[in-house]
Amino acid sequence: MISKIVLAIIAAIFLTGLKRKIVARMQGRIGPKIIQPFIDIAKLLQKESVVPRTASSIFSLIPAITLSCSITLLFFIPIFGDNAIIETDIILVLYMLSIPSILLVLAAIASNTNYSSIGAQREIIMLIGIEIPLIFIVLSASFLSNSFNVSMVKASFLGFENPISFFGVLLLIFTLIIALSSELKSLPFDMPEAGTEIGAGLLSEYSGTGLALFKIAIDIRNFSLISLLVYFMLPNIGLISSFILYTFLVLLLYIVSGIIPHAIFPRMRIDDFSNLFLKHVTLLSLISIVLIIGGKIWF
Amino acid sequence: MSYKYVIGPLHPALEEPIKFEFSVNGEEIEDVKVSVSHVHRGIEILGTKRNVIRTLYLAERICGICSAAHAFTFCICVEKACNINIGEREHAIRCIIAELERIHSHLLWAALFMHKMGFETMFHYILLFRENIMDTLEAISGNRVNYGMFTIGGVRKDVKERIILDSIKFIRKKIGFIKDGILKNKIVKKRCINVGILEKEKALKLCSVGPTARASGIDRDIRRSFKYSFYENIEIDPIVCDEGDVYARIIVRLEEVEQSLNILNKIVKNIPKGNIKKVKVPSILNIIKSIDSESVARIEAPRGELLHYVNLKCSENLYTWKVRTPTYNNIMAYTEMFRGAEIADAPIILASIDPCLSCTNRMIVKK
Repeated sequence: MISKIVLAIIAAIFLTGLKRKIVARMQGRIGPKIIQPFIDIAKLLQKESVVPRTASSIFSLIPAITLSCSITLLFFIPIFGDNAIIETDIILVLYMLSIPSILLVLAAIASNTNYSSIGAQREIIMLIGIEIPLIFIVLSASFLSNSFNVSMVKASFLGFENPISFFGVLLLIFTLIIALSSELKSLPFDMPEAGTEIGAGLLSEYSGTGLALFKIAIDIRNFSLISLLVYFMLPNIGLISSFILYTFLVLLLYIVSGIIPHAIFPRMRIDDFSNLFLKHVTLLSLISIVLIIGGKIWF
Repeated sequence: MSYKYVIGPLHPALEEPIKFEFSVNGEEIEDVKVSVSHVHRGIEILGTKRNVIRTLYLAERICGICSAAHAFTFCICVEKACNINIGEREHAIRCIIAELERIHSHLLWAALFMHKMGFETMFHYILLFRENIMDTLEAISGNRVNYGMFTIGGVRKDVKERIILDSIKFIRKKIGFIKDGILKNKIVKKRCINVGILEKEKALKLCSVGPTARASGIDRDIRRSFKYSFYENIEIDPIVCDEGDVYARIIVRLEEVEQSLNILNKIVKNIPKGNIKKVKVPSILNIIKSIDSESVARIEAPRGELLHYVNLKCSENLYTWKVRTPTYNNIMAYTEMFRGAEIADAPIILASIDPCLSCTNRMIVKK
């Protein structure tokens, strides 16, 4: 069990290295080594942490809390094609997934500087924008399966038996990829951390150990989000073949939602983002859910 | 509730010594205070303490990007004061260097602008294409930043036309890719259209120059209106956009790269054959020593109108030297552009006039 968690943490950090390498190749650069994030974190852990004079007293506590929340999250998420270590409700998983973001906002507010507070504002707007479609999806899934249990929800989603539901599932996957890429904070959606506008925003005051812990925590959160989505797509096959399929799907989903948008889009503005999510993505998720449920009831 | 949001003097959005204090309400900018002069380089004083030939190299080092423009203007200015005439081929070579510099300056601007918008891939590609121009300049002059091509009474090195034609061919292929990638991108359009608007009347009142003025609908180009050097033999079409927003500034600059390629083509076609005349520095200094006169020269630098003033008083040193860089005029337009913008727009509006503040801050002393 412990080895599984440790492997998951390593895999989570590895994904960042992969992203940096692939993006560099797409931009015509050689790029860093794939193990560069590990080197960065090792270096940051040795560095002194600077605490701003204006910071509140919880400033240096938050990184550790965030990391522990993220690691706890791994217990509830089905990783490596297997079931989760603790089988639980999907509502709890959703809460756990948004806790690192909320703690990040808290950290930004605790650091009490302008750049961080602008980043915090933007993060909250994004949180609201993404949560609404996700909640629609979860509610419809639980409606179909009469349960909130993660594995039961999965069973209900896999019904491709009629064409209308199948089309709905495709639309839903497309919506989820957009939502995922904004959750990953990769380029068109990295407004809370916009380097050239607000100087790394949320984390601009963190350094040394605190920054390293945050980096690990964010990586783990991204990894568990992708793992959860992949889990819903996995068919019921043997453990080894489902692990291979899982690895393939994680990489595919990460490349499609995290790496390619990062390479081909400039940064959006926060009002364009809320326009896109509150209007279009929410509508799209609603349509897909109506199609899935309608198809199931019709046939 | 409004709060302060400060960009500069050191900020990742703008690596130059200028400070903007925005009063921000939510994400909207209500007011802006601009303070320049965080650096005083004292170049003009230094320039009066050495002879004119050595001052020329100092002038070249005012700016790292438009170094040839400063040397070009300084040469024209001193030659005007001393009535020194130079050959047609020398004129053509000077204009070739100036146009190549305009292309690399505009490409650098486009790359940095994309970086500020978060379009990293385009940033890397444009810098890759710009490398070709830098290599051409290195092949011509032996240097990549401060070319050392200009001297009073001529140029120091001859050019081979074939190198320039190859470079034109390469950039002409790539500029289409850059234009499509930037101008057709939907997020770029959304972020740049109707952002940072500078209306024509305001631009006239605030004395904007260069591409910033041309994007606001003012046909102001020294190469067209006060022809100098080899530009006298060449017809240049105006590139003017009436919108006055950030998007218009992108269009104007990218079009100007294409225009520069056409101008280079024309210069290479019309360049007089022959060798350049070798300049003897002692004889030039002798002429300068006998002159008691002053003069002003201006050219169209990549960022706009660049003005040099020199005063010679029977000495090989300058008595007065005054430089006015294009950014000095354009800084005034910031307050107009920032009105009603958002924080996310601030870096791109900042970058849109292509500020070069180390040039500008050279001469302002804050009390």
